[in-house]
Amino acid sequence: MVGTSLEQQLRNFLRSMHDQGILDHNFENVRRLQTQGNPQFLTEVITMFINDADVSMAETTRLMNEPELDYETLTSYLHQLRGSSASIGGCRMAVACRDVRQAIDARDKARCLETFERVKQEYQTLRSSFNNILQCV
Amino acid sequence: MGVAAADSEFHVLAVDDSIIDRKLIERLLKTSSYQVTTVDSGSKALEFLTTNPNNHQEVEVNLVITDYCMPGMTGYDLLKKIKESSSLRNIPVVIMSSENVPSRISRCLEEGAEEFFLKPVQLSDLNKLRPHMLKTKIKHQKQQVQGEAKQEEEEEEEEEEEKSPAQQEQQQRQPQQPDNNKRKAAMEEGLSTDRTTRPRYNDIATVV
Repeated sequence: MVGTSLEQQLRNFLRSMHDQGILDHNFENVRRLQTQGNPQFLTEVITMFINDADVSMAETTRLMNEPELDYETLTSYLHQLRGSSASIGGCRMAVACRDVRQAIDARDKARCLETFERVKQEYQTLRSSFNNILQCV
Repeated sequence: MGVAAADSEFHVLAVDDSIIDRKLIERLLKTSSYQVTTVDSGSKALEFLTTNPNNHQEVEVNLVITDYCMPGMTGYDLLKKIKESSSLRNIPVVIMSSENVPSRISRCLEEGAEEFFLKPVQLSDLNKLRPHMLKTKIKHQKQQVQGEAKQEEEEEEEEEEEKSPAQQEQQQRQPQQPDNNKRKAAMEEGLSTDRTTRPRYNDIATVV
C-alpha cells in the first residue's frame, strides 16, 4: 500500500496544468515523442527550454530596463520566447509573449513594460510547473 | 554508404535557428523513420547541400524543411536559392512558421515550396512529406534510365556512320523510337511544372 505512485502524481499534476490552461495539447504531443528508445527525451526538452528561456528572459528584462527601448532586439527575443513556449505547450506564456509583441509593434513603451510583467509571471509559473514535472519523470 | 534503397531511406535536412524546435523536428522526423540532419541557419543548409564528400555523389537530401523566420537568411531566401540552383532545384522544400500570414504562405508556395506548416508542427503534418520525396526518387530514377537510353542512342549513331549508304537508308525507314522517348520526356516535364504552380493550403488553423 504505497501512496500515489509517481506516475499517478504526474498524471494528476498534468491534468491540473491543463485545466488551468498553463499547458496545452502541444505538451502532450512532445511527451508522446518519448519512447523506450530515448527515455530521456522529455527531460532533455524541458531542460533545454528552461536553460534557453532563462537567458532570453534575463536579456529581455535588461533591455526593458533601458531608458530607450531597443525594439528590434526585443522583437527578436520575444519571437524566440513565444515560439519555444508554444512548441513545448506553454500556451499562457505564449499568449503573454504575443501581447508584448503587439506592444513592441506599436512602439508603446508603457504597454511593453506592462505586458512583459505578465510574461515574467507566466514564465515563473511555467518554470516551476516544469520543475515539478521533472521530479516525476 | 551506398545509394539509398527504394523508398525506405529518406534523408531530410531540417533548418531552424531555435534549439528546441530543432530538437522537436528531429524527433518527429526520426519517429517517422527518416534520416535527419539539422542545421541552425540557411547558409549552413546550403553548405551541407553542396558538399561533395565522395567526389562522385552529393550527400543525397530528399527534402528540406525550414523555419521561415531566421536571422540572416530567412527560410524564404533559402527556398529561393535552392530553386535557383540547377543542381538543387529538384529538392522539395517545406516551410514552417509560427505565424499565420496568408501573404507569406502564398509567396512561399509561388516560389516553389511544396507545403507550408504552421508551428508547432504535428506528427500528422509529416505524413504529407513522403509523396514529395517519392516523386523525386522516381523522377531521379527516370532520368537515369533516360540517360542510359540516350547513351545507347549515341552509340547506335556512331555505328551507323560506319555503314554503307544503302544500309543507312534501310534503317531510316524503321519506326523512330528515340524521338518518341524525347516527346514523352517533354510531356512529363510539362506535367511536373504544373504541380508546383498550384497553390495549396493544408489544414491551416489560425494561431492565436
